[in-house]
Amino acid sequence: MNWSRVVRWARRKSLWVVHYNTGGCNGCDIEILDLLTPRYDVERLGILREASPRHADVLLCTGPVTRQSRDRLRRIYEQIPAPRWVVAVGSCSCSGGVFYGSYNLMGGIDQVLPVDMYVPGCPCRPEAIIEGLLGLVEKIE
Amino acid sequence: MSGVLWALFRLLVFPGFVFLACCALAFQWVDRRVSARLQGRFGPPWFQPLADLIKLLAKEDTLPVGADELVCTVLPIASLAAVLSAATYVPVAGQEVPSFEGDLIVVVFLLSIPTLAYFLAGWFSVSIYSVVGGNRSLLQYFAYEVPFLMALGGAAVLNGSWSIAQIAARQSQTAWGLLLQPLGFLVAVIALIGKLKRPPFDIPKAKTEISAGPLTEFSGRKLALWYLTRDIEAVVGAFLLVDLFLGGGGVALWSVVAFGAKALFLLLALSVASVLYARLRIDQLVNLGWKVLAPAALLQLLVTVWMGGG
Amino acid sequence: MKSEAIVAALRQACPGVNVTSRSGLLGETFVVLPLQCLRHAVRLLFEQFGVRHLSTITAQDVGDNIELLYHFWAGEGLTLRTMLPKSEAHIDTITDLVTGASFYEREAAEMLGVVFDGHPDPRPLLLPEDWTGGAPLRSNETDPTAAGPTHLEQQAISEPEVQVTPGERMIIPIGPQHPLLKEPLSYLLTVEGERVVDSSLRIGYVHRGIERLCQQRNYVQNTYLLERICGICSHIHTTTYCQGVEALLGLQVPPRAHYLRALMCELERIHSHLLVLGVLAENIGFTTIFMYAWRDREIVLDIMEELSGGRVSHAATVIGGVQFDLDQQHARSILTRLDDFEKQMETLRNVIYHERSFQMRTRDLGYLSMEQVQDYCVVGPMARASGVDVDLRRDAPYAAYRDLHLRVVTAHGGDVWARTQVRVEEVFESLHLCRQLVEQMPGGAVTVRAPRRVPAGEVVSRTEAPRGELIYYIRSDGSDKPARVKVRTPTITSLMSLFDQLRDISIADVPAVIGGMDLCIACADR
Repeated sequence: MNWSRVVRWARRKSLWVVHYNTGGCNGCDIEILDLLTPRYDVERLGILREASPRHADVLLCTGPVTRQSRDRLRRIYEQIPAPRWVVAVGSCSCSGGVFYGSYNLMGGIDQVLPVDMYVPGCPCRPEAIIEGLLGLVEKIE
Repeated sequence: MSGVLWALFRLLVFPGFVFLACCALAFQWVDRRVSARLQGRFGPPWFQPLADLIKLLAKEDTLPVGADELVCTVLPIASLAAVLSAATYVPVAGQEVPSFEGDLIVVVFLLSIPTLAYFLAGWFSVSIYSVVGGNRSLLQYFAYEVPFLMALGGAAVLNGSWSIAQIAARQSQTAWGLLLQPLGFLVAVIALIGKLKRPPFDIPKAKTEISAGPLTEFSGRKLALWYLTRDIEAVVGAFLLVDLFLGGGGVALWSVVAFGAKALFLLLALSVASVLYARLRIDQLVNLGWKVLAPAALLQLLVTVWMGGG
Repeated sequence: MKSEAIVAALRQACPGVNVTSRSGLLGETFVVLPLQCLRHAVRLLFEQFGVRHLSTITAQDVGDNIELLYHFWAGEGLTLRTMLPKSEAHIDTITDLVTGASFYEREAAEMLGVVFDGHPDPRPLLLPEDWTGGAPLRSNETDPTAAGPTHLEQQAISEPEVQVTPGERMIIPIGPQHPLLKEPLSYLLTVEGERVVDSSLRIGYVHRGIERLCQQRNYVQNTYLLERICGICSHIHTTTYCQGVEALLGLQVPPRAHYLRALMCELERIHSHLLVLGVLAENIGFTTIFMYAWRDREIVLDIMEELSGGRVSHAATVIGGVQFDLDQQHARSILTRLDDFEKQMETLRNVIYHERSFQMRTRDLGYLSMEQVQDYCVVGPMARASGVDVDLRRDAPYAAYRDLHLRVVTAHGGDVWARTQVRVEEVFESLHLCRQLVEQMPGGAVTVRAPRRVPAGEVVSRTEAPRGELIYYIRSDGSDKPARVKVRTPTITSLMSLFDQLRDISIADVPAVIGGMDLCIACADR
């Protein structure tokens, strides 16, 4: 039995996320919360929303990065044990979105962290977020 | 030599570690599926707990700066070891166990070690949330442990023995503990929910209050061991209550099936209870423990003694 | 008219100075006062006329001066305005008269560099404390985008882990990342054992500088920008904004558009209240109710999506009307689904009202008396749960609300349980309003053409958002970009009352109190 194949299977089937809003309007966040609710129920895909970054595999970020959020975002990313991935949910986290050019923003998430999956939308539909997460699953080695 | 091999098999495979781990994973699946269905959702597939376990084992193991590495490594192992040791005295479907008079007390003591380890984990991992969670788990311990002991003691008094195997065997001659001590059974089940820190008594790891409680700073293999311990503890607790109140089981096929069904019934009750209520506050739980559960267990004990148990 | 009496009294109280008043758009009365009269005027309003509700304080840059506008609600809109020279922008605080002015003054201080003498807590509200970019809303000054990064979070992160001794006070940080919070903000709770003895708050993690961005974009672009102040109450933001701009333009919006706007507003109110109900339940560990409430909310989101194309952001309102319409068949389908939804809601109400563990975790918690609510100028269901009978849909009707029969829901408990009751009953009331709107909808166009350039003027536009009074102040200078857009969202009033609610409660009750307040930090921070 090839242990690395088993581990890869396990990592694809069990993806725990920690969610952080770096400054967004909340639209994408309520759609992310919606993923847990009966209509979308991502638990059947093995995705759980975890409380502590140390328990998670994926950092689901929303919002453009405000100055106040930047260091905390980095810190949360560092607390996630390897292997870890970052998904930028929403147009704001991809590029700053509709707030582009504001004095309190640092731009999209990729100005601060390495992003593995971009899910555009303003706000993203829950189906789009699920597609993004499943696309991330495909990328897992 | 074959005796040693046989003993190792019983310890490590059936009804030992491998069997218990499989039961634990199966229980986790049943629990998550039942809660999901009751909430109108679908729930995870059957292999989900296994995938979670393997993923955690393969994850990087980190601890915050300032946390005691040695203690934090020893605690989950000690916790698991205590639960497995307790399991050796709890007969599963009438399997032979090295029972002796008083092994009930030993088992209850061993099952308390995970709570102590949980508290220490909170203390030694130094984060604020962990410390508060650890404190709560100790407070909670004092709320449910006394009623739990009294309810189990009631079963012992009724069946005239402090050995679990004997109590289980005695019930096939008299009647199930459930029928003769309904109040004691109820108290034992409720106290078990507190012991397992399951909702509505999941106060030490109240997600929306203190993040993940004492386990906030654990990851990787250590976390996998904590979660495995949690589930094996639930299974062992269920087996214990089946032996003490639901007549245990026997080696014949139908009684093995019956044992499994009784354990499943208990575990389903735990799952259903976890979705029906809001989480209590610690002071509300302490009130419940001392003003309702403990008197109820005491009453049951007195009734049993008066009815001439033993 | 009350405002005339007030103006007359003000003139009497400040003899020898010029007090001018004029009535503005949307029924607002503007009173110009000299600087030194302002405190006196506020005290007069309070003592003689019982006017205590300060909606917000707008500060704006007008060339060499900074103008401060104090928007009061006296059963009708009343704004006191005064000028300060830029070089010496000092004014006395009014927080001793109106406690609820505290956050507004802090914001005016950091955004325009006004100093409020005597303010008890002059820290910046939205900007980081080590901000070097000047006052962002002062024009022609340092470019705020060139400000350096803030190091405050680094300090917070690199502080040594806590060493606790039993019995000592600990500081528990909740946020900016915490499973309880959907949005980043930082509560610092000082606890002794399980009791919270003190709390402090830091917001501004979601501050996107929207008010300044509004000045750089034209009126049409701002409709889409302001919608994204908040994802939950997006439609009411655009409605309030468009209402104000239409008043400046002197546009007559067709009646059908008013009805459609109100329909979307009520649907949004329902979805918002169900959202907070679910979040409150999740906070007290009652995940099942969270699941049920959000599942039922999907029905409403579906209706909104069919009407406008978006579940959460609708792009429904434009200056001049709305962008969507509905036909007979669609209207019937909406009514049927609202009936289904009502049945679900009734089941949910039964569970909440009869479930003992829910009540054990919400009764007698986060209590605010009517006096406290009026002191902090709290609005919305929070205020109505303490017995304050104010609802702008009835008191200052906008859109189609003049034609509707509305019952304002109040309660007297003042605790988290009372707020839950108010929100649940408001959902039923909103369903009732939705039915009236669909059934009585007039025919006609849904939009009129609006010019790009808005004539010079100013307007104060108020509406009742799901969380309470939402107020916009818009000033135009004749171009196609607004000169000033000031937004005050209802959540900021709840935040001011937070410290009173968090005093002397158990840590376990903090999530219930926060859930009961229905905070939308994105709204508060802008």
